[in-house]
Amino acid sequence: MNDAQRHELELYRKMLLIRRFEDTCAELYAAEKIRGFLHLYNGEEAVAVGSMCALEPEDAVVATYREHGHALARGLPPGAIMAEMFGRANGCARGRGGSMHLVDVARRFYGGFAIVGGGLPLAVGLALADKLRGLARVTAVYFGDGATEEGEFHESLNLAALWKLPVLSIGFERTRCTTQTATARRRRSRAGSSEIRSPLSPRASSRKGRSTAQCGSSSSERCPSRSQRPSARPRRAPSSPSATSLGMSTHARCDDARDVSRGRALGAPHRVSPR
Amino acid sequence: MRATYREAVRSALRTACRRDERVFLLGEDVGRYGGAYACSLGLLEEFGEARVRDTPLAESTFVGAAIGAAIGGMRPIVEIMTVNFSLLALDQIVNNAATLRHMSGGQISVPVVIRMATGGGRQLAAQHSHSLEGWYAHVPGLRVLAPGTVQDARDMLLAAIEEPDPVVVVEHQFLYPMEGDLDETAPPVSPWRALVRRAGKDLTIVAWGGSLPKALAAADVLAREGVDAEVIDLRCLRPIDFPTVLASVARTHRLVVVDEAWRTGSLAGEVVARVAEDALYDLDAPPMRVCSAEVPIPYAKHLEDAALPQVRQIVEAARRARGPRA
Ligand SMILES: Cc1ncc(C[n+]2csc(CCOP(=O)(O)OP(=O)(O)O)c2C)c(N)n1
Repeated sequence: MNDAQRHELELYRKMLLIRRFEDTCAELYAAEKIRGFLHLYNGEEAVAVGSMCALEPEDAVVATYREHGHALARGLPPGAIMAEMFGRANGCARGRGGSMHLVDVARRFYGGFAIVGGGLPLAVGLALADKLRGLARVTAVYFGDGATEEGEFHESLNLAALWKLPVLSIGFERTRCTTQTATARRRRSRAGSSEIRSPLSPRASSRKGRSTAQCGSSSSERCPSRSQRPSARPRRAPSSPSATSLGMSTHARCDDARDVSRGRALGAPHRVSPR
Repeated sequence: MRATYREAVRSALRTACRRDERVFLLGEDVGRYGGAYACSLGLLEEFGEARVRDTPLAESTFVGAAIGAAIGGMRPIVEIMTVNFSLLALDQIVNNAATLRHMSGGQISVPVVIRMATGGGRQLAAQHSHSLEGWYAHVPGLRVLAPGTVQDARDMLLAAIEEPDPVVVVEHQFLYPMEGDLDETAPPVSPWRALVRRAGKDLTIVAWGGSLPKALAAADVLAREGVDAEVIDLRCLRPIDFPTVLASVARTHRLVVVDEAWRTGSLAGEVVARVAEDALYDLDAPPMRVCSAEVPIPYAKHLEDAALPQVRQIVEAARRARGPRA
């Protein structure tokens, strides 16, 4: 096996870990061991794994309430995540956060944010701190395409671009019906990730072989450029497609809603829809 | 030395920026314009654009960015023009800043200071004149300071910057031009304590921020009538220093609370409730509240004056709390 193959295998292994983990969560939710809301990451594994492999340990991550996959891809121990969902003191947030608020500051994983769009300004601020401190770091922020309807999305892109901050915005269209109302009924134009590329929006860019939606700029007056930074990882393109194109190619999954909190996928005993 | 409240705020901002290079300022017009109330005038020239940052008109996002920068190791001081505009940032303040330490099991610290002007009296009508600090004081995870003197405008802001948790500082817009003594070298009094601004034995008047000068003026009127009022400056609206309030009520047995917010669901209600819970039998008369009329604050001068708590009403409430003179 050559390096590239080993790398691909490693990515696949991580994706599989996420899938197995989520399947277990679904079972434990049905058994009422995990309570509250549970948002599964099935089908999006490649987005987290592919994008995170382009991040360095000192980069920051801000995720949504659908963040088990992001946490696992970032290297949080599955046991600490599961303990959190069991509400245990040895959970990664000592049982205070649960499924939607996994945090591990040592890994610069600032957590799951359960207010749609609410993590975006925070990511801009994390990147601003790095810029002001002269640190060559990137902040990656994940969000569903529903977040693009929130004002904070547009404001955050503007601010990141205005201040030339190294924010990597990774949007993903999981389904066409992320709330109970189809996106087509909520937006002027046909729902699709291509429309997300509005004047302010992330450009799909391919930088150093890494393919992610990006906003702001990777370089700033103060930060040394990323290319000057040492990297331990093979610098080839991850096998996953770009976040945006992946969104395009998977929105057909709309119907098999994987949101256990909707009580649909599993017929969960208690319906706890947030919507 | 003599200084205005606004100069005291500026002095604190300048001192903080000089002391700690993690401190930076952001907000609408804080840079070139020097702040909506001129609190940061001259600071852009002294500290440069990286540390005095004009933001777009996007309260939610620049406050959120300040929160993110605080998490990322900086000490941001963000200015929101008025408490009314801070409502656009309520999501970031309440859902993020206030929750993150707890929700992360203690891993995340949010040392951000959020300054905002509050209150009425300048004929700015109902979208620039409200007193919503009680909303912030409702929220665990936040600290809320309301400096009511020139010295406190500096000292409490500097103390806020030292805090590892988010602090909301409300500055009553009527106070900015107020003059007072400012000692930039005096050891600061803890901002988390209430202070007796005027000692008295006949009744306790609790006030803070923009209501403090009115409460003191009312105490002067009462003194001429032979009533010796004690005036307590609450200073910190969350957590409230109840021991100081309770100790005063134990001496005077009568309580009047002045709060520029509306009475329904007000901080004044909270103070009265706590006194009732912990010291009901210390009271010789029902506690009184002097609050704003339950209307959006009107524009016309006579209407606005009628809506806001005034010295005359505080005096009347005190007389009622005193009851018919024995
Ligand atoms: C501000 C806010 N509004 C509404 C909700 C309720 N809510 C939870 S998930 C969700 C759908 C979000 O869709 P999307 O951003 O596409 O993410 P997905 O769930 O599809 O991953 C909504 C509306 C919320 N959590 N926050």
